[in-house]
Amino acid sequence: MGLKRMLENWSDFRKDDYYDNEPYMWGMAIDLNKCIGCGACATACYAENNLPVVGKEHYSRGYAMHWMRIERYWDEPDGHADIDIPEKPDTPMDGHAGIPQTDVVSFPERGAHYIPMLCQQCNHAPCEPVCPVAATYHTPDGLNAQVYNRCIGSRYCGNNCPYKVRYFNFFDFWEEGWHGESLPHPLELQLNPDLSVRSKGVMEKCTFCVQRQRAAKDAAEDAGHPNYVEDGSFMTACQQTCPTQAIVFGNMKDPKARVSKLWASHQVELGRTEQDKVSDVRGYRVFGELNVEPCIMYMDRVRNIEV
Amino acid sequence: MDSMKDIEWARINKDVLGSLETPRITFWIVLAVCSVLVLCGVAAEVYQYNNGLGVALMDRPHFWQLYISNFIFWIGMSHSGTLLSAVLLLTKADWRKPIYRFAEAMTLFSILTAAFFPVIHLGRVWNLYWVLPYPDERTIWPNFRSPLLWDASAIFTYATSSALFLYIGMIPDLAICRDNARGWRKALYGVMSLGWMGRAREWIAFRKTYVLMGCFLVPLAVSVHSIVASDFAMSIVPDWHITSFPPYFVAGALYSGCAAIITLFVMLRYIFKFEAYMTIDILEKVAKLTFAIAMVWNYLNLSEYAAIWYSNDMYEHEVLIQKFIGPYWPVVWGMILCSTVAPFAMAFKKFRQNLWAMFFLSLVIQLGMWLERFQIVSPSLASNHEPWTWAVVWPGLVQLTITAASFGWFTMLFLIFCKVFPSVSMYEVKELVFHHRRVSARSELEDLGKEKDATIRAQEGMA
Amino acid sequence: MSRNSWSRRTFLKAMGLGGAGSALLLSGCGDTDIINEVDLEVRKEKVEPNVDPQDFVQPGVDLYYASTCRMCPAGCNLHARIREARVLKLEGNPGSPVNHGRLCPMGQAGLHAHYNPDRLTKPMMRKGGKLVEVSWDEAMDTLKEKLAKKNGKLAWLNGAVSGHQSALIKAYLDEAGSKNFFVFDTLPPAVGHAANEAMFGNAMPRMDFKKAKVILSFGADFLATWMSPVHFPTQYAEFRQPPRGTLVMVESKMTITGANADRWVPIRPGTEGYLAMGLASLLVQDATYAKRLPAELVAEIKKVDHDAVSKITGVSAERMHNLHNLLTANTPSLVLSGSSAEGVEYGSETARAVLLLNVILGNVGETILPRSEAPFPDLMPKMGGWSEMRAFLDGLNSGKFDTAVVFGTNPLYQAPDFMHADKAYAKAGYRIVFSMFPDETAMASDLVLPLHSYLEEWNTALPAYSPEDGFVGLQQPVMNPVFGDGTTRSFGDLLLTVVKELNPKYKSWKDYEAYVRDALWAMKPVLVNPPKPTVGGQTEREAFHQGILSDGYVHLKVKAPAPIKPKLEAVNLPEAPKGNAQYPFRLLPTARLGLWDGRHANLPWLQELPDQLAEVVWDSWAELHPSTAKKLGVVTGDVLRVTSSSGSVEVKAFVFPGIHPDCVAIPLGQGHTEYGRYAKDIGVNPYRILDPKFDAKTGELATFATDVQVAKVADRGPIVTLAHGDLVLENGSDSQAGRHFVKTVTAKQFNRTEEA
Repeated sequence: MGLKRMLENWSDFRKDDYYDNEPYMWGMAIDLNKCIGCGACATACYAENNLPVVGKEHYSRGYAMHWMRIERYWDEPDGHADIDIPEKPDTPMDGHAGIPQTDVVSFPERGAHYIPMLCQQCNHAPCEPVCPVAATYHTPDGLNAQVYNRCIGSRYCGNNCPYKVRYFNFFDFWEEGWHGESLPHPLELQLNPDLSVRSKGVMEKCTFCVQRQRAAKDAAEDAGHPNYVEDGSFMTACQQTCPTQAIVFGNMKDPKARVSKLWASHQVELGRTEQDKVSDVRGYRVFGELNVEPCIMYMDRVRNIEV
Repeated sequence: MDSMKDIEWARINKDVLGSLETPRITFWIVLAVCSVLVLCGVAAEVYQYNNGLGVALMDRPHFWQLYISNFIFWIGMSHSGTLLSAVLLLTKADWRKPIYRFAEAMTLFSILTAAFFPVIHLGRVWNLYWVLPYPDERTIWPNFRSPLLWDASAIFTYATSSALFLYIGMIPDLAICRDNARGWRKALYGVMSLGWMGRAREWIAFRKTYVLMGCFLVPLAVSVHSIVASDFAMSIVPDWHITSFPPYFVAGALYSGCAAIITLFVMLRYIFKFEAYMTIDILEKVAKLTFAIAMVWNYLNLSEYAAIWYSNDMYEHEVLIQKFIGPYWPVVWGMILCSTVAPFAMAFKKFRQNLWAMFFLSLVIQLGMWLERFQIVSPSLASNHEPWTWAVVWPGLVQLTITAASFGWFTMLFLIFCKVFPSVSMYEVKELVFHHRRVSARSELEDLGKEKDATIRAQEGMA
Repeated sequence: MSRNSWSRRTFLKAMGLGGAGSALLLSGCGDTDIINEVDLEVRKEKVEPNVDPQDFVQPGVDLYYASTCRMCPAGCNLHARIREARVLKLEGNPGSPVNHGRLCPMGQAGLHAHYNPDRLTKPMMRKGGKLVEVSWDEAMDTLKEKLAKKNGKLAWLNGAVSGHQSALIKAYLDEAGSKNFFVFDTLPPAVGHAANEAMFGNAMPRMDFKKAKVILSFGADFLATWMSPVHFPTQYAEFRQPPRGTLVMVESKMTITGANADRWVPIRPGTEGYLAMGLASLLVQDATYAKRLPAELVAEIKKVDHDAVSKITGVSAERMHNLHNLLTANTPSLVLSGSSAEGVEYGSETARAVLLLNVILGNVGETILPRSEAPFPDLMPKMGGWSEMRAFLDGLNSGKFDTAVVFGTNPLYQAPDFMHADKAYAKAGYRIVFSMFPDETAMASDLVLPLHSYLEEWNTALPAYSPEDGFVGLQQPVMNPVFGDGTTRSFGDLLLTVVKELNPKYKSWKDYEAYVRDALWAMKPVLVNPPKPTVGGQTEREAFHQGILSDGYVHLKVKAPAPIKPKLEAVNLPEAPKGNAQYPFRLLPTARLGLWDGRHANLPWLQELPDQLAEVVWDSWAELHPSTAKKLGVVTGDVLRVTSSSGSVEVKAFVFPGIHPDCVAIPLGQGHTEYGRYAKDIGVNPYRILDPKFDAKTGELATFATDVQVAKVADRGPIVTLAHGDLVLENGSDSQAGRHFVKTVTAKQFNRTEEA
């Protein structure tokens, strides 16, 4: 921008309350008591965001492009992952190839741990300062934006993301993903015209369905309330399809929004770490101690340990 | 040392200019091999450019691998030249005089080799110029907070400064070459020597310029590699986010660079028969310098491990432990063997003064330092914050080809340099010889004086 | 359906085109490649904007149509997002009581079935031993020749079917004089349905998950592959609200439901019935429970020896007592029986034992509720079963049938090798298949008719499990057929064409759309709140159709249901399941939420979706418990040969903690030999090696009763990032490595700190 404009806006940038005048701060709350790990959210994300199917060969090399993925963990052998449970599990548990096996025949008798992992849209995103060409930046409404046509593919942002939710187009998957061929007709008719298809060399990630947001904001403006998008008037693809409604998405600046109420009731707040939390409600943010200020709150899974 | 005083100017000229004569067949063979390597590298890059970085077998989470570690390795290699030519210039260490020229050349060529890697490792190479802060109609600037951008500036500055420094330092020598050359060489040297006639006025200006550039280069030597280190230190990746990384990298750079100097020292001395100039004494001094730097590097390495261990940070612990017992253990232990254990051989004088032992050791140290760069990059990414994404990736053929090509490129440049430009600084050697003569002359005079005194006393029967 | 209805005239007027003499911006630029579709008085050039809108299309504006998903028999209702006349995204229909606005991964992947590159686009006929493409004229002639006649030897095998499609097929078969109608769909639990029918008078009584305080499931994977993959999770979400219900899952291999259980009970395969009887015997010690059963039955149950049960099932006495306490302390509860429990030769006995617990616990009338009489029985879902498949194949083998029609199912893939389905099918004189895809059955047939996808045709569909009685889902095309004219056709249209030949009364309907519309209009008197005209000038009928199609479903008036009077019989479990020295492991061919029974193996999104338990993609695998793997000297990725007395398959090993050590589980769904590029030659089909074992009472194939031996045939190759040899996993670690991704909070704390 020109020097004059930069100086004019300088005071805006340097304010602590950079986000104060902005009516939106998009956030999510994911309830792991309800998440069953079915993967509908992951599939919906593929459909909504033009994600390429990479095929078995590329998948084996770690090139999968699932912006939303379901992680499935087992209990630690000594119950270590479940440190909130006072009891020890009945029997220690064995895992598959990675975890040492014992002679005791044992099972994961409290089921599996599922957690959907997607871009946390961190307010102090570690991926943003390190991009050499400023292809990723923070929008005023709390999203970490990735500008595909600015990205030159240095992949520093991918390294810096602790959640590893940034996905790099190592190949032109539209030319050679899809089980070893370019996207066959008529699958291209399914592509969503509201967003682009990314070429090789570009980093991409979850955008909280920014194309839907755009449409909702436009609709709000048309309807005469430009700074207010009603809670639930648009949903991210993952939220919309989740059979158990485990994913709640909305504007955290709207006190009436479900997501704000959930954050409040679980005493999780932007700008404050959960280490300060004194009560025993379930809400937390993953890697909160890294101080990246994620905008997604998870609520721990629940198990009845009396049974 | 004393033999130095007996070398005549003409002989210096003759020896050094002799190295510029038409090369033997070995030279052409080696040059051909290097060219082939470079061509293979180009082919690999074209393949990668057309198909995407997946052919390099990097993946999520191994977003970086050999391209970045090679980048650091070559930038690191370049620091020793600066150390030898600039730092030791300012500390008035005369023993650098016969060897700094090729070290300086090595610096420049290392940078020219390193410069390729940030280009190669980009996903969209054709948009590389966007990292340059040029005004465009979209009024978008690059991100000045990004260490990769500081890299771009630092490398650029360093390359320009080193090239200038090398060139300026060569001017008096180029004049000598010009005076003794024929044909295309005469034309080349004529242009490059800028009409140097050796006048006193020219020498005074030269000295001032040279020393000033030396002063300018010294902070550069430290800052450039610190900036490259900040590529890692400014990230949050476990075992990258370490405050001591900048000095650690600088120490590592000096270390590998000194080792490279030793390698080239032995080779040039043998090939061009520079025994009179590149003496064992100087080799020993370089070895001592290398040893000192090795100790500094080892200290910083161990303090890094100590800091990680005592931090009690679970992520950092995991990476540190995995480095030693995880899938990349051969790289890490190889580095320890080559860079921590091996240099202790230089504690022994006999070893330091043995040419071929030092040559072999220097290669071992360089291997160790290359492994060091690799073990900085991959293990941290393999055992990153997110266990779901933990994966082991070894560099594929494309990365290895390009690595080999980088060595080929460097060697190619260096070979050409040795045959076009004097690889020993003639005027500085002359200064060195002159200084020795004066010193020994003075001491001879002193001795003579003492003798005369003694004789006179004896003659006059003084007690 | 659209917000503003622009006619093309208005549109073009706004663009400044149209009308005589209007100056055209583009006139004068001679060599544009834009073609004008509107004749202008001036110049008579043809100009076409870049996006040529149809009358109902506004470029850039979304339209939504309501329809019904047909990716599995659950029958969830959906909203399809349309842009520029093509469907881009499917969402749940928020008003649907079945799925409440949500969809499962298969529902989302419906787009890949619809836009699949391997869809059949031309009719095919077998000529000279090979299938060749033919014209529709020829195909229709042959179809009419073969089907439009009275033929008592015609056999029709259908997949699970409901609604007017079911009614029309029945009508056709009646007209054709054939009584040989068979329904087969792989996953609906026919044994369980029969047991429900026998005990509660209905194949799928209504269940109230929200009211239940405890759900004890014996192999019913209700969160994934049991009947309705979306509906039950929606109810489960409420079940888990404070005060939080408890879920206990009893099964031999962990499914999604098991992964979410508060207590997962690994049980020796096939012994669920014994555990149920063990629990029953504990319960009837208390008179409160005993009085709910007839005395003789109580006496029989009391004979059950707990130690024996413990030995047979591998479930400790302590665990049984815990479960007993759980059930008695928390009423009402809900006890479910599922395929893996019922898939043995005494499966009906197992199902009865499990359902009996509901009676004992007093769940009938609380969480197991009666259904109203169906207002239109012909529309009710037919789920079928293996016994019908067997009857179909037996008839073919014996020469009883001369013409075979297959629609909505793939017997040559699903049927185990021992049934020799391919040979039986080859015996038919003429084989006709209606299909979207070149599946195994289609490719072995004589006439193949390419169909519209469910997003291109009209229908009604009743859910396999409906939470409300009288609910009918509607299906309408959400776009014009993908492949255009002269390619695919609607099944309903094709069948109607044939029926018209047999009975001219059907000629009154131009096509299947008219048939369905008329049928719905005829149901208007029994509709709850039929839509009324809201726009001036709209007729009742127009308003009706617009209204119900906007909703996407109708509710029929139903009478109040009569309370369930359980009919109880004794449970006769065999002495004790014998071990088999030669075949020491039980094969568990489990369905996956994704590929289902194999019908979705040709959808790339679902192949790329990692299995929710094993995290494997694009492949099959054999799950072994770590202790079993250790004994066999096997690691993840090694190639195994799994052999039953009926055949063998080679499949990669996967060491998995959530399986009983006496079992090996191979997922269902891969191993196609046809079916397109995304399915062909990937993985193995475990059903192939099933033994000829059947449920004694219903004749259903006992799919969880086959015993196998397992031997390693090859070491895995190198581990490449995520590939263990040839087996590709999604993840690099199963452990959170001490990081807090997801921890566990006790239910007590949860109930204390949260409000509903």
